[in-house]
Amino acid sequence: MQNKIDIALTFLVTLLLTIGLIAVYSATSFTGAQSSYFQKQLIFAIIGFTLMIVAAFVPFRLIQRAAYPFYGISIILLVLVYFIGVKGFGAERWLAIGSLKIQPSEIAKLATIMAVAKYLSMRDVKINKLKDFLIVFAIIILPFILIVRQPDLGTSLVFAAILVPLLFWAGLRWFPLFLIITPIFTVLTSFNIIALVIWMVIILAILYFTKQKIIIMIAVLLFHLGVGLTTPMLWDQLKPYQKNRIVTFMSPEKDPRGAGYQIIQSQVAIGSGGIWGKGFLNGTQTHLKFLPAQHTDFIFSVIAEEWGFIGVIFVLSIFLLLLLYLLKLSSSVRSTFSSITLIGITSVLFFHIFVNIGMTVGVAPVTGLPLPFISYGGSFLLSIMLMLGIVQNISSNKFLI
Amino acid sequence: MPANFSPLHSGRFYFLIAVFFAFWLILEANLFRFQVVESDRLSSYAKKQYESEYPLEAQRGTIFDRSGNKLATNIIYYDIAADPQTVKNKNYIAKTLAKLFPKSESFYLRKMNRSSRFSYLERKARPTLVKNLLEFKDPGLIRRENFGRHYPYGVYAGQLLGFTDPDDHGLSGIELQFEEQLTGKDGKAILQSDATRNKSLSPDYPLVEPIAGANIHLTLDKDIQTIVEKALKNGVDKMKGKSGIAIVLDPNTGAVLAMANYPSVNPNNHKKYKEWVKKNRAVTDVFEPGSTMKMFTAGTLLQERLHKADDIVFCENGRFKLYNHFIKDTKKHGWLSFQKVIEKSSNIGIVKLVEPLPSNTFFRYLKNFGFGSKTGIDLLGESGGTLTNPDKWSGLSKSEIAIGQEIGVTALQITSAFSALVNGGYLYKPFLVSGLENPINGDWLSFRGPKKVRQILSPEVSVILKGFMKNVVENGTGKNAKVKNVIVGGKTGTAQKFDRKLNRYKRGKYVASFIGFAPYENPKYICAVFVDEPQKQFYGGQVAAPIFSRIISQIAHFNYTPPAKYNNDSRPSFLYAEKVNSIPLMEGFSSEEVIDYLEEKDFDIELTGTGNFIKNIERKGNVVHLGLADKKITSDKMPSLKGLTLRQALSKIDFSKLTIKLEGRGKIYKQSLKPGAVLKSRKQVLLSLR
Repeated sequence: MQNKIDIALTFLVTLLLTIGLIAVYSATSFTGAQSSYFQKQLIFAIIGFTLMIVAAFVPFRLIQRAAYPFYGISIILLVLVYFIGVKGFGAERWLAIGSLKIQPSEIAKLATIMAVAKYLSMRDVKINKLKDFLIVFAIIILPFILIVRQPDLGTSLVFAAILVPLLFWAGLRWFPLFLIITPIFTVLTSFNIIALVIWMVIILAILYFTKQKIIIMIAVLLFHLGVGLTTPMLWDQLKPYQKNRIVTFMSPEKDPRGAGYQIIQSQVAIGSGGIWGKGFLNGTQTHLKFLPAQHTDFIFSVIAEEWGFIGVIFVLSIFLLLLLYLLKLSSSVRSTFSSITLIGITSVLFFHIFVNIGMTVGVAPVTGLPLPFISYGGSFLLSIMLMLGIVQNISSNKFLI
Repeated sequence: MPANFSPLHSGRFYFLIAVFFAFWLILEANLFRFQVVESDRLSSYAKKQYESEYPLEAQRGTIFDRSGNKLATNIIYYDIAADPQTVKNKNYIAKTLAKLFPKSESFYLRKMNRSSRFSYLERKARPTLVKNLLEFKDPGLIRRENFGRHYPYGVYAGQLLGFTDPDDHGLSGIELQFEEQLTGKDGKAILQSDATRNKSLSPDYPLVEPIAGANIHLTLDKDIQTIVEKALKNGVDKMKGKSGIAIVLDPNTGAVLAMANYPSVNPNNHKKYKEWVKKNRAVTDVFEPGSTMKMFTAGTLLQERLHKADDIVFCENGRFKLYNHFIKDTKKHGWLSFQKVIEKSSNIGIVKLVEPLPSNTFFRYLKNFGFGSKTGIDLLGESGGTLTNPDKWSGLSKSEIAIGQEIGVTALQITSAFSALVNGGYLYKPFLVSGLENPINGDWLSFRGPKKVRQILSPEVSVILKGFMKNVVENGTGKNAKVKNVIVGGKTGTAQKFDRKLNRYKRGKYVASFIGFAPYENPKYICAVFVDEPQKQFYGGQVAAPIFSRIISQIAHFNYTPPAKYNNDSRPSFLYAEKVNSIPLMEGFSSEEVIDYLEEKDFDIELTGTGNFIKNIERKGNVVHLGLADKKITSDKMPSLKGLTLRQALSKIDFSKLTIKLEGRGKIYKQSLKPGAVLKSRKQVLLSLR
């Protein structure tokens, strides 16, 4: 029993769940319906915790074997949601089965990670082979496309974000990684001609000093130039609200009553918390409803307002400890499947944490990604706890291949 | 590092650790920026967002007269405005307003056709006046309610009270002088508003209640003021005078009972008046008093024992040369007694009588009467008048001053000094504000009573002067001042106006005045009337004395008319007082008359006791409670008789309980039984008079 449960991991997870419950209680305490929010979240936390423990006891082999069927089912669900899904509060789509509502995109995250891990753990698969690389790429890009079509930009970005760490951890060479990552910067610099030219010079320099073949150099450069030139055209084709989101992310103060409202209110909430915070249930931004989506997307601002910089350091440190613990675990397990699965889960958590908190302080765009363990929302919490259950399982089967 | 377990490159492990730390630091740095570096700015932004300060305006204090009538108060006004973009019934609104206010329909239409979103149509409109518009439904018609100053009695005491600007800051008169006390202190409420604009009182800040401005109680009597204003207007208009001033003082306290300036000013609508009309000229304007001054000269001569009332002097048949200057009388007089000199107002008589009086002594007396210095009544812009030092006097100065030239006085100053002539010789500081009152609990914040400044004349001299002035009215220049049923005294004055620019007297420009007192025996009122530049007649006796008579005839009865002398065949004179809110003191009147009077005034009457006379009278709202008694007074307590004449005293004594022994003559100054002493058995009381 004891060696089935990772005590350190369980402790960190329990701590974060508790912080989350406190924050949800505070964030919804003024509505009069706080008991329903808090109680629901409490029930989900208990179910999630149980799910994690149960997952820890599932035979490791079964999990390994279930990877592909799991992936297949989640893809089917994603397709189904495309036809019979119902719209949620944001852009996300739900699948309603009776009174139970599930969000297939949450399940797809874990399924995709495990499918990639399963594939890469096969004996004759080498990530640096083009065929294997493309298959891994395809495994990830398929759910990504389905989710983008929903359209849920935030969640689909998670898939894009785990691609790089998975490939990186699987041992993909630096140059293909370079080819995957650099277009992102090309897109960002494409709106400023000077920045684009400088970026092109940098790419050229890297290509030159890594002694690439001339043909490859030219091909890469032309590709980047193409991306850089077509991006502004694509930008013009975006819908106004999509443009708005991005512009607002860049400079929220341009539109304090409209799109920038959330970001400004969040920053005001965080800033007015000061070093020591206003105290539990005393956040004025929260309780006077200035803060939008305060129990979901902007729950971190509630914590920051009520517990101050001290509280924020504490919460962020727990998150960092968790991430480092998972990272250490993923480098200490014997099986490739375990290691890749762990790094995938770590990436999902990291991406969620960074983008969500980054959003509240204005360093990441408002994407609607919830904060793991903390934000209100059953589907997301259960999917995260299921991931942690897999982690528990792997942790207790470190030496299995 | 268990790298050997991992199928993966150990360098990548450290790289990922570095990436995690880097991102962790980015988040922490940003949080540090907001929560530590910019915390103050963001906190105040948050505050600004959810806290708003609402001023709670303090009510301006009320100004009361001495019986509690509101002379200046606050009522609700409406500002009528329109939003030109949304207003629909432009024509109806314009038409309605044009009917109510002296502006044209097109004026309002122009205002409603502006491109702005807000345009005032009328400000400070009385709710009763614009009632139709207040009930009228139009999306663009804006009605703002606010408190504004209102003066219920309109023109009465307008210059004295002053007025306020639209924001209710005092601009003149009492309103300006007591601005600070009247204003009070605004309070504030910090309201918390949430993102949905719901407002609630912030729990972090206590409500700061406004401190209402103090109420001011004046010594002024609204009824007397009303009578004075009307009489003055009537008298000045009749003589086609330029302007007039009238003052009523209580000579025994210095309390100002009425102070009127004509032409009058309605403070509700002060903008349309000229500046000089808005001044309280009774204290600001300095003029040469003329013959009324002779009374002070006479007082000085008597007090210095230089002359007796029956000393005689030759009046040179109307023409007397002094230092190459001719002193003239209006009528030729031969030998006259001192008393007759006053009665006939002979300039030559006074000039000759004043000869033995040293200039310095005269000057000292004049200073003692208060000439040449401010009375200190605390009215804004009070002038001290002009009185030059005797070392600068010419040979003629003493004589000129003795007949009221070469000296500048204010109306209040000479009226106040006049009190000393008739009250036994005491100069009181005139006062108008009797107290400031906390409007919430009714506590007095400050209280001012009579202030005796000094004694100038002896009571004996005062009695002689009263006699002089009684004769002026009965036989002399002041016959027009006579009042039916009331013995009065006074002195006329006719001063040619001095032109400072040309340094000579203006032809045909006079200040006609009469200063008198009533009743003769125990003066309750000093009443002074000044008419500037009367056209039809110009003598004080012709112009001002009738106004005095008219005033006294109406106010004397407010608390003085012996029932015995009461004349049944004419209407009681106190009925002339219109809008009487406070009822006169009518103790001792016959009950029939009092009931008639009260019924005419629409009061409800409650009676207790039986008898033909009123024992006590008490008013509560519209109900007057009358205690009846037979004429005989019954009381089981010793009344206070100090200061009363014997006749007055006897009317207060219950002869079934007291026997009386007398000592001396005049007024009672001592009584052997203390006031309030319980009279169980019949007792003897010794009354000392002098």
